[in-house]
Amino acid sequence: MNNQSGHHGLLQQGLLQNRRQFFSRSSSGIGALALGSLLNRSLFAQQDDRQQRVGGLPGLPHFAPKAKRVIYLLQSGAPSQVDLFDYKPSLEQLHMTELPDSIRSGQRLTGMTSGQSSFPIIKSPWKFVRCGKSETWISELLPHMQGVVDDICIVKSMHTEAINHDPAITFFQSGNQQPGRPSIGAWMSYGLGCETAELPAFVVLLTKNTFYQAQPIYDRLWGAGFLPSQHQGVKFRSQGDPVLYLNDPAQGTRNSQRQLLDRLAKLNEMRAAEVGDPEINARITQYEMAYRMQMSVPDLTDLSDEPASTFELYGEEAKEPGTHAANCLLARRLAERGVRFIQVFHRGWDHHSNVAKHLPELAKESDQGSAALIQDLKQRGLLEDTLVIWGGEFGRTVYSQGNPDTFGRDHHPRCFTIWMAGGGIKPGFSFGQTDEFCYNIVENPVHVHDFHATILHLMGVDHERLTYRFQGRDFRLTDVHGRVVKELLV
Amino acid sequence: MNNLTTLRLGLAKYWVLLSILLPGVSELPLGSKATTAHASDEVSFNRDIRPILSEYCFTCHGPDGVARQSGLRLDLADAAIAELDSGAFAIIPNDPHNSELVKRIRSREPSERMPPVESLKLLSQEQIELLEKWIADGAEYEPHWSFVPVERPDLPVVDKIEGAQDWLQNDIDRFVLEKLNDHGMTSSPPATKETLIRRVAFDLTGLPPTIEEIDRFVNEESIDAYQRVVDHYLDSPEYAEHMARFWLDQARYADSNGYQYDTERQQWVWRDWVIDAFQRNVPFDQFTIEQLAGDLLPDATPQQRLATGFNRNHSITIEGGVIDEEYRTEYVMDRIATTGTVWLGLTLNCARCHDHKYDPISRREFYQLYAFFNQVPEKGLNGFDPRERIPSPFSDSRLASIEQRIHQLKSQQTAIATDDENSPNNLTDVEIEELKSLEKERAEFYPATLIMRELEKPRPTYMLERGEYDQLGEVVSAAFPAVFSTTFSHNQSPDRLSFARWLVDPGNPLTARVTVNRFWQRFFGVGLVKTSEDFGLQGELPSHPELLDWLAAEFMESGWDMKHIQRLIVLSATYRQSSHVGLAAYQADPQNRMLGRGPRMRLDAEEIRDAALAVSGLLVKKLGGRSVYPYQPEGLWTELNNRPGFSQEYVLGEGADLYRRSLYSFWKRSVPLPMLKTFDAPDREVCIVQRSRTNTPLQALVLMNAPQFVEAARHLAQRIITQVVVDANDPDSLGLTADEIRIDFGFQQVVGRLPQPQERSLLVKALNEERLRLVDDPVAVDNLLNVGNSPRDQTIDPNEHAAWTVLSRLLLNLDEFVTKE
Repeated sequence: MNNQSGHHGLLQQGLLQNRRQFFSRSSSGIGALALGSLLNRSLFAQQDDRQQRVGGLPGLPHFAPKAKRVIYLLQSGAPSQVDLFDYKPSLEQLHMTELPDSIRSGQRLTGMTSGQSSFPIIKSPWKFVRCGKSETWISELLPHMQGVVDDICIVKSMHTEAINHDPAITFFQSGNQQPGRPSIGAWMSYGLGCETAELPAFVVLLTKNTFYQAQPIYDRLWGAGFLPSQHQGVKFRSQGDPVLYLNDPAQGTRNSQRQLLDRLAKLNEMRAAEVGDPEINARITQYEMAYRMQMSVPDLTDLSDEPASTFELYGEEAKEPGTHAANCLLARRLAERGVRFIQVFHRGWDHHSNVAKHLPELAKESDQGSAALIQDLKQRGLLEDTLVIWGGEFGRTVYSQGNPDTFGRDHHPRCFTIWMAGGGIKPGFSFGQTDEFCYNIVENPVHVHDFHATILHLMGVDHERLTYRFQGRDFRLTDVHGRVVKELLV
Repeated sequence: MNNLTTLRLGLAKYWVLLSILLPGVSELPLGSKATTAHASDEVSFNRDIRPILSEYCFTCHGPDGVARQSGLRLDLADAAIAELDSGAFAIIPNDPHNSELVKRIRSREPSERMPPVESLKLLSQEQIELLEKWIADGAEYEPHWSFVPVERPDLPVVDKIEGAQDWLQNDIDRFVLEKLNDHGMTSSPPATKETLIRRVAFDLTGLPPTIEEIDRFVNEESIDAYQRVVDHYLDSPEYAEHMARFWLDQARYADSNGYQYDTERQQWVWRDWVIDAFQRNVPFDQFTIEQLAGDLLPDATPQQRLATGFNRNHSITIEGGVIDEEYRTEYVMDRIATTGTVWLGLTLNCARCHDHKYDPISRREFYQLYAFFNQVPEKGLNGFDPRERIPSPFSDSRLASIEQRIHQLKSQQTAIATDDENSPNNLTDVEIEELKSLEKERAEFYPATLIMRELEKPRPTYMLERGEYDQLGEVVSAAFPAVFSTTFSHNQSPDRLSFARWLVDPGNPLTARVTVNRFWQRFFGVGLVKTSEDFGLQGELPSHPELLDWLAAEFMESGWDMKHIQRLIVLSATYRQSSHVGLAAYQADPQNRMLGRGPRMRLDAEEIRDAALAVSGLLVKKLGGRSVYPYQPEGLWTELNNRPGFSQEYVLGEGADLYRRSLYSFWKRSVPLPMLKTFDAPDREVCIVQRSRTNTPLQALVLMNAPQFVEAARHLAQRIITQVVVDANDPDSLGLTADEIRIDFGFQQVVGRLPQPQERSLLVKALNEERLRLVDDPVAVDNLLNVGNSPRDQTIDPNEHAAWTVLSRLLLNLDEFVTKE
């Protein structure tokens, strides 16, 4: 199938210059009853930025939000906390000793290591560096993150209930291990709508995977569950059209979709007058919004307006679509344009063997872009109302999976590390403690439900009051659990 | 002016804006909720009181014994008037002032007030007064309406209503007319014949009517013309495909295994069984029994065993780290949730961890139901067995001919071999190849389908603490919830077969109501019970309770005849009403809960794609078979999963496979076809009985730019140019130009009616503009004519073909094209 007409096609054909023309035409050309109000709202969105929003529930946010948008860099596959953030000098002594039963205390293991007769502890082979004013220990594998350590808040005491990828990532994304519930981004879209009419409220960016054993991801992770389906995340892709079917596959030297839309609007208006169903007017509006997306996405994905300093910050890799660095940059551009929830999926952290070889590769892929995003948002004044999250769906075992010489690390739900930044989160702060084995939490545990409650809180939403009635029950992202972790807040 | 009218007027202006901002969420509390806003003197427990108790009180004072506070239980009459732990009485019939309940709901003291402040729930003044009045009147309880067995209600007498005699078509209309009249509303005039045939064609076959069908019907004067159209559609194979498509959502059917790797699954033979069952119009009771327990029927046939694939359609994991029993438990849970939703309209799964918060299903009863489905010899990890190789009902002739030919070749081979010739195999090379390929085809002809079986020695069923697979509680055995007052007869074994038979027993209060309501939902967009997935205490009350019961009784008494009940609905005057009734009517009753007009709603995803294929002449009609791979953008599968050995590229189908009906499209749960998904198709990970119906910019992009639709436009253009023989001097041309005649043809193909003069002139103008534009834009011409894999008629002038393609694209983007009017 032909899908070659990338977004640059639109640019070349001078469509961006048509933008102004479009705005002047659409207000007079449509003229349908209720339509005017919506279009006008968004027409002025440029000047009246942040005052207006599209969609969302009346009465939300429940209180003044600290964060207006979220960028969630999901590190799928589960990064190793013990090698990256949770510094354990105690392991020097414990290295190659057996993990005591008292520490494991009968905990369930995955089917991959439950048959092992021995659980030798493996210290991290990497050096940790004490960084920043906060004097936080960070692994040498993350040199760029070391540089932003005073802007981020490291939570070392995350824990979850699931021990395998599918249920664990589904839990992180939807608050439930089994399929069927809405994803966090869908809840945000439903509750808070979007700050722009030109882009969806919930955008998903997929990083091209390089690790041969990477865990798959799936549409469910950004699905709408039982919420109306327009709240599902929209993938912005690095191959083909950035948004599916954004571009006319039959395009000539000039774009003709404006004409299609004008004629269509006239015919649909005639029908609306005859039938009376306001749904027809709504459809005219949706076509106009599609056109806005056609106009604005090429502008969004075209990085030619970025100064050289951007690529110094994010690295040259950011010029290659589909890399983590490029997606971090794109996430910033989406945030600037008013997208509510941006989620970047970076896969490949699932290292059941040969951590020593694979972890540095993955860390390198993630490090610079993630750190650059923090610096970039900060220098643009966006970090204060943008919540950035970095983390996976669980942690990894301190003991070796398989041969200690080529050690792997198995799934570990009992403690792991994520970090958050911006949007009302305490900077340069670490929270939670694990034991000397990096196996159990000894202080300030944060459950996935708590994590969700905290995100919603920062967005001005009481997690107990954002509900949706389905099958007779008022469902929440946090089910019947969740505590806002106030200690993390500014 | 009554309250209802005020309410409507008050909300009308907001609705317009809401429907645009929040497509799919906008709704007015009409129907049953509106009837609670009445000013009548009678308080009805079912209508007025139970919804309040359920919503505000049952969480702590309902069926869940563990969560119960203060010893107060309000869902049962005896318990509600009993003495509380405190010695007080929550309800003293006829004495609201001394009833603790009233004191508490009226209290201004935060520590006393009910519902508690922290519940974030607040009773309105009107609700408080209703509760008081109900207690003053004696606090009479009624059983929940949907748990009472169906009795056929008397037909309303509506003969005195003006115009009734002319309007009524069948008994359905009496119920509808009575309700309209009660609310001071009137019915709408009948839809035009063009609108009606297009509506009923989509509703019964999922496809638009052909121009020939439209013309025949429009010109047919006889009184039974419409009935004949309906019967024609009901008897068509497309009806069976269409019905199957709805069933597949409920059955969470897919061609992949779900969960993270979502590898391919061969389950399409079961899908063929469903189509065949609808084609044979298998009575719904038999349809139910065979799917839930066909394997347990005496002398079960292979087709009856095949039917049980229904409850093996759930996702199955292959993720290495999982524990078998953990996932096996999830599969059983899925069966209960699905079966409960599909047949009973109950949220049984809510009682997995605790007694149901609203419905009378205890945790014990949940696990008693669980026991029915817990006896499959299956595993959690890679749990594909039991499977069985059973032929599809559609392909017998092909299989027979393959087997015959194999037999022929083999005997030839054997005969020669025993002659002891030098070569042990005297088939020609061509014949050897043929034999190989036939054997391969035979082997793959019917992949083994996942089906149900029963363990020889039953597994014990434990009540699982907190619903967790490894927290084994008390052992229970299969039984029905007490609320249904059903026990096993002495010669019945407590197995799935008994369960299935109980579902379709005339005494079962739910199955028939739930099923006819889904038919209604399909035709009208909203069921008589809007919450078609929940007939429990939290579900919405029926807008037309007597009509629902009447239909349910009719359904059962007809021998569970699915065609009969649908025929009745589409033959009713209610269904035949016009939907072109003006903005005010839409604002007054956005969801048409009063049924004062005909249904008008956007078509489902599959219908839209199928309609584009049909009107462009690309549709390939063929019943059943392996799933096919239509157009989708490159890389959608591997960008999510590129793990060697656990992933695959999407391989685009060829030839006819690109143009089959959408129900045959390969359904990958983790990445459903984007076109279908954009138009609200579910991912089929769980049972769905009601899809969203949204209106989004992404849908516009699909219709404008997805190759399937651009290609359809190119073919429609080709049909317009080649199939319309124009003689402008023909008196039938009514003075229209050749272009106008062609435009009329295309327009009628797409929306089933001829254009109005102003529509026609806009299209003529557009056509001429495009001709001018395209002459100067050979790139556009070339691109337009090269979208899609189907060949182009090279005899047509490219510029002309391109101009008509642009026009056809316009037509295929009309709101009317994607809407059933």
